[in-house]
Amino acid sequence: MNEAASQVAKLPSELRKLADAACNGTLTDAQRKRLEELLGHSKASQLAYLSYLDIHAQLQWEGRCGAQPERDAIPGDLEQRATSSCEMEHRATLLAAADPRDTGGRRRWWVAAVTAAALLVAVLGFVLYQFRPETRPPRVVPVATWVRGLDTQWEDARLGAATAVPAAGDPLRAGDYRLTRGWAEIRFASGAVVTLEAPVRIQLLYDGLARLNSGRLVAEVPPQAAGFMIQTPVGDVVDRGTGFGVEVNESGDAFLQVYDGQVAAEWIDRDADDTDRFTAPRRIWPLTALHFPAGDSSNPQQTPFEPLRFVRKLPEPPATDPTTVTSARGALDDHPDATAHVRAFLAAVETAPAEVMHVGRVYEDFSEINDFTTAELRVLIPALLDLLDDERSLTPGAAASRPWLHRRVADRAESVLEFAAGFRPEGQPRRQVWRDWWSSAQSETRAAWFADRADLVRERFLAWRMGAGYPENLHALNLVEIAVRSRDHQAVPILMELLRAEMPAAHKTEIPLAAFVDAVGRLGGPKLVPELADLARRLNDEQNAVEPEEYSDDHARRSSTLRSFATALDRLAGTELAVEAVRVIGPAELKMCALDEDAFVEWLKAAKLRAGAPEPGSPSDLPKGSAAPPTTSP
Amino acid sequence: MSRNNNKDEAASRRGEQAADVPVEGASVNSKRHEEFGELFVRNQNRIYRYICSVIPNRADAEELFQQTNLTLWKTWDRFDHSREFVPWACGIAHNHIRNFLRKKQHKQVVLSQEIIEQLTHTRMENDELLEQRKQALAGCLKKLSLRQRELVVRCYASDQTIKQAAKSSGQTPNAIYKRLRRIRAALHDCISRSLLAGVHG
Repeated sequence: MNEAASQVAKLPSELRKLADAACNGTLTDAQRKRLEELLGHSKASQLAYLSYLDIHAQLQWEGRCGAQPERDAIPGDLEQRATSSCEMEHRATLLAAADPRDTGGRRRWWVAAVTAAALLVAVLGFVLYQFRPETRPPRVVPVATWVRGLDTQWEDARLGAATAVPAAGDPLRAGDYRLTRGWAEIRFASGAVVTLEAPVRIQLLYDGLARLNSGRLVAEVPPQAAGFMIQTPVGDVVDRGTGFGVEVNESGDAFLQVYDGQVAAEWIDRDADDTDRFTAPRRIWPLTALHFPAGDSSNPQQTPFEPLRFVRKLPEPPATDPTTVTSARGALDDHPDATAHVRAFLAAVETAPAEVMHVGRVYEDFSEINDFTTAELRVLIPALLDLLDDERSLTPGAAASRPWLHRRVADRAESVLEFAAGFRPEGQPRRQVWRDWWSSAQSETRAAWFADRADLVRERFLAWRMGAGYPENLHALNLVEIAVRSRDHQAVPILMELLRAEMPAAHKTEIPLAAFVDAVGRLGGPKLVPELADLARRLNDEQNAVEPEEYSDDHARRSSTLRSFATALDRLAGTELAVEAVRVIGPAELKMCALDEDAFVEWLKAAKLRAGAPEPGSPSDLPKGSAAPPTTSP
Repeated sequence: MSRNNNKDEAASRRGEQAADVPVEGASVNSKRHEEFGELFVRNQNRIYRYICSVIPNRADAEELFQQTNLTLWKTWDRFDHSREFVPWACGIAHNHIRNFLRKKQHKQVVLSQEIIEQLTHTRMENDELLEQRKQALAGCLKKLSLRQRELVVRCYASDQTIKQAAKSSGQTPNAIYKRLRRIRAALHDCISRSLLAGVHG
């Protein structure tokens, strides 16, 4: 060792010059040949050369630690530990030094001063690193914490598919992660909050830095976390205290959209010259959107700013405590100035659109308050209109790829429509305001509404059928109700489709099938009669196949659906066919009268009256083929 | 859940064998993975320095370092824990360097493959010495003047090239090269002295 050490100390000046040229990158071909001659002949020269180059290597290592730890393709938590000697401050300082706001000569001096300080930090870090006990494993610091997920499937690359979805507050170590389904919100220690939307492949590197390999995320960066950086394959976004959405698609293009904020975000292009990387980042101002094509990312294209392109914030979990809504409602009722409350709610909608599921409930409550003045409605309705505009601005592609967002916005629109549907007839002036608005502004929305929402209706309905319970049930009914009230004939084909699909389960359905049939009766045309009659007949057969005395929920459900069929056929086809309907569904229904006599008798009376037939009770007067009236009473 | 636990137990019972079956031996595997991770982290600097001392250009060295890390990480389960990590890792780095030389991707003049082979060999033989020298470097850096440190940072810790550094400080590139040469020479001498001092005293 001693010998080798002293050998190293002897570095012939010729060799040193050549080694310097190699370090500087100025080696000529002739110099290279000479260098190879010197090295090829002696191990001592090789060692001397290596020891010299090693200084260069170590300085470069320190330098790369400071300037670009993020370029590493190595897995995240190791990356973090590997660069633990590299202080964040150091990097932040270098980035700050590159702030394009400081220009000219002054900047140079400043940079010099700052870089000198940075070196001190680097050296200190280096020294501390050296004296770190080798035996102690590097401490692993969580990079971020899990805030919450929505419909989430989450994969830690270390654990693979077996990864459990983290609970709120769980630490996330540096590393590779995948969000394969749903949405997730994570918070970096510095305070930056990132919302991910599946599918996402992301590498958490350290607090303040993550690499988005594919997918979509939104970062909301508070001022104290300025400098937060998201890397993409084509460039890096540095946030100076605003919010931005970034998407990396399958072909590696990046799409950046900057939200409101006092300051711009910055884009550091991957292809830029080394010097440009930090000295000339592109500034991207709030409310702008740019598309950086892979392979030509230095020539981004301006694209329209789309407020709904990214999910900025996940909705709060639905309030389990119904008193929240009730008390809000109570406050509205009690308050002498309802308009102020309306405005407050509208302001809440504007500042926190994601909370709209909550607010939507309040709208429902609004609809129950009948003493809005016309003036108040003039405040309220344009705001509602805005909400529907949001709904319309959601592009079909985005809606398809993100059913949850779609649903959220649809919920909002639905709330608005519920608001409309809730007007009582006696509130004539208010109805008029609504109707004016509805007819003038909503033709497009109205036409597209049910068509766009076919899946939603189906999904709601299925959810309800799967036993999701009251809210889903209510939603399905609301949709139907709204369709009826707004005379939305677009709903008919969807309702028919649902009927066809769901009829076999009619005995399991609570209300909606009957409501669907009813709605079809109100909105559809005579052309539907044969099919409806056929469906009714089949349902009736099913009902008849069961022993009538065996009263059960199934029976009652079929019964109520059958009555709706009768009413619908009555409406669609007039009395003549209604009579036919009675003939079709008569036997079972008459047997079930004992269970729900009043309603059925009432209907039957009406039908008979319209058909010019005698009152029920005289079986012989019923049309041919109809069954005898009930002979057994409860 | 319980099924997985059983599997883990079974895997542990099978001992070493299980580690070669990543799917089944989750706990053993993750322990080995953890160990590998430690080695990987602790030796990043050595791998980088090896690459850099034979391919001094920053961009090229960086690229090779990334490739090496990626390979290391992908093939971690092929590492035999009874062997030394650094030679294994540097062997992988060396393969990448060979490829790099073959493809002639380099932007600057580089040494021939044969010389690089020899240097690699010598480096591995003198690994310990070079580590000692690296540790001495920290102390020597402190002895640089503030102006010298500033130049080091400007040339090494920023992404500026030397030409750009020269331009921004109003000097010629040659002047910068000279200053850097003096700095490296000073560091080299300082390291040698402090090692000798350490050995003798």
